[in-house]
Amino acid sequence: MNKLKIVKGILGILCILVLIWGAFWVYMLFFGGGILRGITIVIEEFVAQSSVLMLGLCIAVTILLMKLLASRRINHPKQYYAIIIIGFTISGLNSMSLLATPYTIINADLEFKDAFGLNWRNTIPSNIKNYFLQSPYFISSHFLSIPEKSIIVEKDILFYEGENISLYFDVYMPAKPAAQLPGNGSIIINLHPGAWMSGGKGTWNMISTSKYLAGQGYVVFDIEYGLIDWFEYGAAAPDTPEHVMGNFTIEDQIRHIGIFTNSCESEFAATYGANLDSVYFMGRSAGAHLAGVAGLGYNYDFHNTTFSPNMVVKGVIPLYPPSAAPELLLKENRSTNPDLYNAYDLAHLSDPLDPPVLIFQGTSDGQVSIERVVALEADIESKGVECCLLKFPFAGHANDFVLSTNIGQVWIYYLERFLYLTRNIS
Amino acid sequence: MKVMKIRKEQVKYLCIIAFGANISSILLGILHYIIGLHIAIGIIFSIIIVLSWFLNNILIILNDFKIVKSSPEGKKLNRLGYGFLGVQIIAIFLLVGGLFLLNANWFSPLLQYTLIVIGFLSFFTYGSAFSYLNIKAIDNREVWKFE
Repeated sequence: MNKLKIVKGILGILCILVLIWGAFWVYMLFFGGGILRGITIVIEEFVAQSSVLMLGLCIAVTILLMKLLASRRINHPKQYYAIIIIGFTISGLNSMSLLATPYTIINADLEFKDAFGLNWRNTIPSNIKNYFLQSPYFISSHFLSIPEKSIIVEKDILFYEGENISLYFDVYMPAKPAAQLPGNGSIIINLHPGAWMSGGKGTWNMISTSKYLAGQGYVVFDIEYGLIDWFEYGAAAPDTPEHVMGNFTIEDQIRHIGIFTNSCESEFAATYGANLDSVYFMGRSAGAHLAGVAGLGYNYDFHNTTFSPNMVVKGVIPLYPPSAAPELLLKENRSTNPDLYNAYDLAHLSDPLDPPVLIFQGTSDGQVSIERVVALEADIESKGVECCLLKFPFAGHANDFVLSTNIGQVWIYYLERFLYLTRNIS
Repeated sequence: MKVMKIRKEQVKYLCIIAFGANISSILLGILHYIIGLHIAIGIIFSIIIVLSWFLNNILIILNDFKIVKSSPEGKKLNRLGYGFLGVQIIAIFLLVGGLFLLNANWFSPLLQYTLIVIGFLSFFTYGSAFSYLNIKAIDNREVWKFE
């Protein structure tokens, strides 16, 4: 066998391996990591966001196989065309998330019409719209990313020391005067994911989104909170700092967030030109649960001494949120202390005085199921709270990591409008 | 099985359109970073990106079916087709890497955008060259098998 044949053989095997990888991606798009569990729970987080590029990869290797197997086109046409059909089928199935984008947009529009009225688009002045994404999705931005606006970032600012931990935050601010931008210095308190026991500010709390929102005139505080060192979870988030670990429960984590709101009121809002009359709690996964407790529980008696009384919460933005705290992560369980459990249950905390809620949820999420989130939305709405649920078909957990994908762009398009609309609700 | 006949003019037009679409993609890519997001440019750019990607791949397949690989020029175009697929695969990995790393606070922003820009430009630059070389060879009877 000559060298060329060996090279072609190796290339052919590599192409088939890529197609097997593409087929696995298709499986993950449809079913997420909820069935196989284990490592697939983590892999799921990258699948839908990279499926368009996987589509390109599978088509490229299918064409490469066509070239490598050109001699079989005449001698073994059935084998040749079978391989090609399989290759293009796998490629096509990887486009499902992209093809579902119009559905995502139609669904999001209906949710906004329900929450803000049929005429919601016209309530945003055109000079404000100029700052926003002009369309929910551009393929060009998918590949080239969304150009960043000029912003200021300050990192690792201490806001709490005690209980053997130190808590820091990063702040993202507009470089332009915030009053000239849609955000007008509104505060976004951004809470990271990690199953209440891992993770941290920064990379895994979607820096791109924080930067984008800062460019829109929001002051984004990406904060740490104490993490539970005795709890183990299969899909722990990476980059967990040692200085936040302790013998905590979820009550302590909410208390840490409360400490931040008080520090923000007394010091940081003035330092960073942030507007205390317009505050949002945003969080991902476990951070979404905490954001929900803080935002919906701000006016709840149980938490009335936790948070600064001088902030006005305008909205809550939970992404892939668990609806309630796992009982074992509270100091007492539900049967011995139902009031405690209820104080960390998002549906129970909701009341007609609460601000609007915008939820991000993928339909193939193996960690927080879409059914639970749909039920949560219904429960929150039944309590008189405006709630928009943005459903992303084929998206898994944490699929807002890349801002410029078909998922990220649609999310940002509606997020910036939600922020503006709610900021102006008195 | 009835095989669809492809005429020389059809391939020539395809190559010209592919060349134009690749060049336009490069120019619009540069414009994307200079003027930011604009609705008209965004729509046109999105259509052109899909069109040029589609035409580039059609051209590689046509080359595979319709080129005389034993001729020196045909062999060169066939190898360039392999090269284009290689560039395409590398470009995809660069784009995935760049886009995911945009969130990494431990990675230089300059490098993040360099990965994206190299990934994007390498594909369309190679595409431009590939379609141009096909246009040049279209009249060479030793290269193409037209009925």
